[in-house]
Parts: sequence; C-alpha cells; structure tokens
Amino acid sequence: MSRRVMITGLGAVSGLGLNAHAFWDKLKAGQTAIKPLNPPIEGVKISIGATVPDFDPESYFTADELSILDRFSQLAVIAAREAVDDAGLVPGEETLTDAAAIIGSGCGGKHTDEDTYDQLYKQQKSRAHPLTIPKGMPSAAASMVSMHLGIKGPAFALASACASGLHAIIQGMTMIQAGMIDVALVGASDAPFTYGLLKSWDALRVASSDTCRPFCFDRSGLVLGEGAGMLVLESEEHAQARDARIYAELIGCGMTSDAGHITRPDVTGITNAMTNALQHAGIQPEQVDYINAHGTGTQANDETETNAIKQVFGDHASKLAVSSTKAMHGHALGASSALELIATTLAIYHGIIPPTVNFTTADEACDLDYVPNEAREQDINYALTNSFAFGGLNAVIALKKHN
Amino acid sequence: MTIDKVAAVIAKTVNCNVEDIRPDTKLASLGIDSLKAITVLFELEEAFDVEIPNEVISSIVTVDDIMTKLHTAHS
Repeated sequence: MSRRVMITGLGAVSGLGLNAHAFWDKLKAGQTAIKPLNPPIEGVKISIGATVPDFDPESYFTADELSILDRFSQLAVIAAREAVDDAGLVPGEETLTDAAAIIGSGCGGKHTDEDTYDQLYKQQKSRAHPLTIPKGMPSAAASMVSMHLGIKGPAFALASACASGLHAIIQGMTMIQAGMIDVALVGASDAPFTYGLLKSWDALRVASSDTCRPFCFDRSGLVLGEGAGMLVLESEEHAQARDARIYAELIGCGMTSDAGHITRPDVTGITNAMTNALQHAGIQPEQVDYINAHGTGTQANDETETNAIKQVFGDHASKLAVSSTKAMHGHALGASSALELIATTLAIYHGIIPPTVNFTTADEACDLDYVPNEAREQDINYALTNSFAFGGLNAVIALKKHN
Repeated sequence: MTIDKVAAVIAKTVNCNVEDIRPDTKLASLGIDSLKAITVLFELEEAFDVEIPNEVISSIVTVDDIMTKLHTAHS
C-alpha cells in the first residue's frame, strides 16, 4: 500500500515575517531578512542574523501559556496554527484530533536551558527554575503543538541538525503513504539566538560577518536565522473527500548518511540522497525543473552541492534552476529545511522561482543557474529540496505540481 | 514572613488577585495545578531563602499549609 501525499496547509514564521504570506511575498521580491542584530550581543563576533521581526509573544499567547513556552515552541505553535487554519482544519474536530504532529528541531529549547545555566553558573543561584526541563526539552515544541491544537495522534520530535525539518516531513509523508494516518502536521522550529549558541557558532568559524552569498565566488559563510515552518500533509483521498486546496504533491524522498566527517559534506552522500529521491518518486533527472538547494553560503557546502547536482543530473544540471533561499531567511537550522520545502511548494504553486539574492561574482567551481537576485516566472512540474546536516545526515524531498 | 508577603508572591506567580488569597484558600481554587505548585514553591524559596523538602510538597493543599511549611523550613 502506498498512498499519494498532498500538501494542504502552510505556516511560516521567519525573519521575513510572522506568516507564510509575508514569507512568500518577500521571497519572490528577493528581499533579505538578514540585518545587524538589535541589540547586538556583547562578546559575540556574530553581529548579523535573520531574526523574527516585530514579534510580540503576548499578542499570541496568554501570560500563563508563555510561562511554559520556550521561544522555539512559541514559533512552532504560531506556524502550526497558521498551517492548520490554512488547511481549513479545526481544533477539536476528528480530522485534527487523529492527526500526527512530528516537529523537528536542530537545537531545541536553548533559551530556557541557557537562562537556567546563567542563573546557576554565572549568578551562583542555588536553584534551577522548575520549568526548565519541560520548557527546554527538544520535544517541547512537539508537545506544545499537540496541546495547543488538540492533536492526539502520534506526536514526537525529530533531530538531525539542519535536516531536522525534512526528516520530520519525510516521517509524516511515509506514515501517510503506509496508511498509518490520514493527516500529519509536520515541520521544524529553531530559535538559536542565545549567547551560548552564538559563541559556539563563532567557534566553528563558518558564520559570515558580511552577509549570506550562496554559490558566489566571494561567499563568506552562513548567516543564522530563526523561525518555524509547518505543513499539513494529507492523503490524496482525504484531501479530495473534503475538497481541500492542494498546493503540491510529495512524491519521493531520499535519505543517506555520509558516515564520514562530522562537519565536512560528502559529495557521495549528497548525490545518493538526490538519486534516491528521484528513484523513490519514479521520475527521471531530466524531468526536474527546480532545486531548492541547501546552499548555506559556506565554501565547502556550495561547491560540494554543485558537484553532486552535476553527478546526478549530468547535462541537465546546466538546464535546471537552482536557488538558495537562505540568503533571504537565513540559516534557521532545522527550521530552514521546513521553510525551504514551503518555499519550493509555493514556487510550484505560483510558477515563480525564488532567487539566490546577494549574488555578486560567479565562482568557476559553482557554475549552475542559481537564479541570481531576481525571481523568475517559470512553470515547475517537478522540484527537489535539499537539506544536508552536520554529521553527514542528508535528506531530499521530491515534489510534483498538482493538476 | 507574613501572609501578605506570601500572598504577593503567589499572586505574582500565577497572575491572580492578591485579595483572593486567604489562609484557607485552596491552591486548586486559584488554578494552581501540580506544575504551577512547584513554580510557586520555587518563587517562595527564592523570596524567603528557604528550602522546602520534596517530601512535604504532596501534603500542601491550602495557603496555610504553605505558611506552615515555610515557617518550619525557616526555623
């Protein structure tokens, strides 16, 4: 048994705004959310990022609710509410009650953990706040999404660093294909702008002090972002029975691990992930019109990803469009992969390819069509979205336009 | 520590009116469940620099019970 899986609801919180409409409007306009951190964080080299703008948690949650919501859970619940509402589902009704909630995260409740550690280590307090564990645990967002939306089916968190979102979406997708569930709320959330985490990213020496320039000769590294991307997935029969709007179809997935280096990407692992996704989808490389690349803007990723695309697609590599939307919404760790699937979905739905912004000088080692700086109107029948995580955990999803 | 000071901490922690807190007030009537109760105890321990042992927590039902445990912990 393998059932077809449709995307029927979208929710996006990111540096580009607090909903999917703002996300898409700014993506297609080529606007970047990357800006100086305000206020700057003293003692941290990282001074730029794509933080969620004008975010007032109290306009979304009561004080009582906020007492148990880490920032990554707040972003997850806001995006989940939007996705559910967008899909026309109603909390309390059977469809949502029986659904799954599978929510990835690259870093979990770091704000909560670090607040407590600051109290204990720096301020020499003798007591930890009693809500530290339930608020900060990596599965807190999954729990909060299920509680706020009344989802009583399978609910859990999934962690694979920057691929967490795609792995969570693949989990929901395959559960629907297998007939275990009809509806899944899937995605990821991350809120990495904490002192300790930024210092740790500083130490990795992969963060740009300039901006994110994926695939450019003068690319200087990644720029962190925060946010949450959530999707409602539904079996075709279920979606059609309730006459749901279908954005696109998930037709295949590929997952591999490099079993090599903890941070350096591996062209074989990435190549195999894309090949597996095409095979699972039952399509030929020549049918793919667009790839939403992992495209972090680091030296290592962008060249390796380009080489992998060439290996998988051969002559077709130079004909298909490849863009990285990270230059606009930043690298929101696990949430990025979910946000990028949403970007790919909307690209297919609207027939517009979001650009790779901040593109300046081409790199001989990165010589594909990266849709530089301006969005392109183009019909997309098939697309891939790539996510490759630290630790060599690779995930690729293939999508198809719904006719 | 007085009932007024304890009530002020409780009211601030659970966002209720301090006037609603009397010695015989049951914590449950203020919407304080088990999770909120440990948060209230944490804030009281911080405010009065005392340690309330885990063993006595399950016997706390009213505000007066809290006063008793705080006095015991403080003595």
